[in-house]
Amino acid sequence: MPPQSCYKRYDMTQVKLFQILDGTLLIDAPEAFDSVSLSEMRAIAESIGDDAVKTVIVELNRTTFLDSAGVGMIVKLFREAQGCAKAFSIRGATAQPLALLDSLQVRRAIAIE
Amino acid sequence: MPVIYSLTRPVMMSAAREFRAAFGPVMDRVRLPTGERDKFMLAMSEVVTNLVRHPNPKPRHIRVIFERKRSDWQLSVCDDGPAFQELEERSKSFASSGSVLGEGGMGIYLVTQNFPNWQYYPRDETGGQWNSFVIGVPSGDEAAKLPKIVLVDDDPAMRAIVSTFLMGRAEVKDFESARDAMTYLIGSGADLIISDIRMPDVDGLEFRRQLKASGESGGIPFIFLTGSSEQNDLSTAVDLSIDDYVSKPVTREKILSVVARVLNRARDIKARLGDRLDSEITGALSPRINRGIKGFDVAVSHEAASAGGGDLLVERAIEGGHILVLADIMGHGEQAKFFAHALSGYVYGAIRGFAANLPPAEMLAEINDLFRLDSLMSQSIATAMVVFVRPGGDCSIASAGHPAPLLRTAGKVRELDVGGPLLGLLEDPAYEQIDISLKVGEHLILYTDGISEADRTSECIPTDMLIGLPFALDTASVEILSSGLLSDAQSRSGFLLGDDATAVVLQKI
Repeated sequence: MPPQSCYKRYDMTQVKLFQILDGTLLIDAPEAFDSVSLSEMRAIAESIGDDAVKTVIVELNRTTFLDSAGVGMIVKLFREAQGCAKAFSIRGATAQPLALLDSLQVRRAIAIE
Repeated sequence: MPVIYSLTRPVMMSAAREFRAAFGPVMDRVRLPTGERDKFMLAMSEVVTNLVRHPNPKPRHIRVIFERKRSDWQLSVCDDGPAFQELEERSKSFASSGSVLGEGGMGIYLVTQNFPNWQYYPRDETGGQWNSFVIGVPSGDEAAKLPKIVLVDDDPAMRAIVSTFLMGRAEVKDFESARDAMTYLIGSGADLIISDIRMPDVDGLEFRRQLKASGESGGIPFIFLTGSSEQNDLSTAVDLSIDDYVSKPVTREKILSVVARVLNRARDIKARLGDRLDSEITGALSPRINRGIKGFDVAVSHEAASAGGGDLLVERAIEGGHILVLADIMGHGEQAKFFAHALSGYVYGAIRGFAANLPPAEMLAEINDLFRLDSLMSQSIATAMVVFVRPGGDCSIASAGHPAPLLRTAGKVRELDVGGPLLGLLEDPAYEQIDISLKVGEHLILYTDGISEADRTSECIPTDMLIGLPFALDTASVEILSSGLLSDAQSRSGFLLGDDATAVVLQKI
């Protein structure tokens, strides 16, 4: 395993899922963040407890579709982060994903940049 | 306009993605507003995902149907499994949890929040093959929309004042610069432009010149806001054929009166042009059978809607029989008429060119290509039905989203099960074709949705239209039957048809 400061993980299509860089776990959410994509994302939750991780960011800039399963996964990651006292935020959400997060009032609990 | 698109897929984890990939372009094609489209896509995805994951036993197939019913867009997610009894509980249980941050169970809650009028029809209650979860949104009534006004002024206070005066009377898009307004107008258009004259960068006069030169936006009514020191500018503005001006300081009464006058005048001019176009094109398009059909009695009854519409019937005797194309262009008014006119020209050419060698399904595919590839026709959506009638009574029928034809045999009326995607929706659709054989005395009835959807408040069962006519179907002439269907539609619509209505009745002789 490479040093944690630049650890990266890829899915089978060689899309980067997440990386840990300078204490930040950057999770690159898929284009369609739905129930089909959950299995790939579940493994990420384990990395949140890593000592090298201080901050968790879910990057949604390439996500064009988000459903309740995707939101549920974000919430699961958020709770993991809360449990380990790590900062957590969502970044890059636009269009439908942002509208859904807003309609569920996710901002009340999670920072959306 | 009945079913716009329907797709059936086996139950599997990727089903929701497959439906999204199929229906996204279809909803774009019919110009569903982004917000409504996103809600439909999310709802479809959530319901399909629930059907794939939760029922026990699982359904084998899921069918999604997107259709336009009178003034609504409607999406039905259907399955052939057990009824989803816990649907209502699931929608409530998440809400009652009091948390917006659930990790699961919020899918159905989301759907029911976005579509409070959702309906669920379990198949054991309807006696059908499918359970159906149905959601819908209004398709938008053009007449009810507020006029869109583009307001250009570099003074934010003036923009705020004028916008406030027009609140509730118009949808105002305000811009600080003429350059920004120009960019907006190219993409979105407007019903009226109100512009200051003195502005930095591009002033109001130059803005007006550029609009006139742009062609497309040059015809939008234009009002200048002028200060007392701008009388010389105003004389220049008159040369630029503006519609009116309002002197500053602007009062509520003054701006409302000028805006109302200019908009009314613009509507009046448009209506006069439309009436002329409507009467000329409507006359040319009026569906009729010119020389009869060998082996059949045939009659056509048609009424053009008061607000215009887009029905057309193209027919021609060809080698081995007679071909009929009945089509309905989506939308109303002059635009639908214009597209119908363009389509009829193409269909005439297509019949002359290759109809003799093509079965109806392949001919529909050719017409579909026109809708996709032609820059003019790609702006429209249409249903169509192609029928090839042989003198001995054999008929081949293919449909692109058109209302199903009716077959009347001795003592029985039934809908013929033939369907396919609307023209222009798909790149390479495989239209199905059915073959029937009419015996002497039997009827084949073709019609447009102006007949079947004339009643704006309740559903009409197509077979009932015919059965309910006040005369014996066995002995009535084709003229009586077609005019009876039209009269019935007129009656159900309150004698103000909202769409073109056409009935074509053929009887084997």
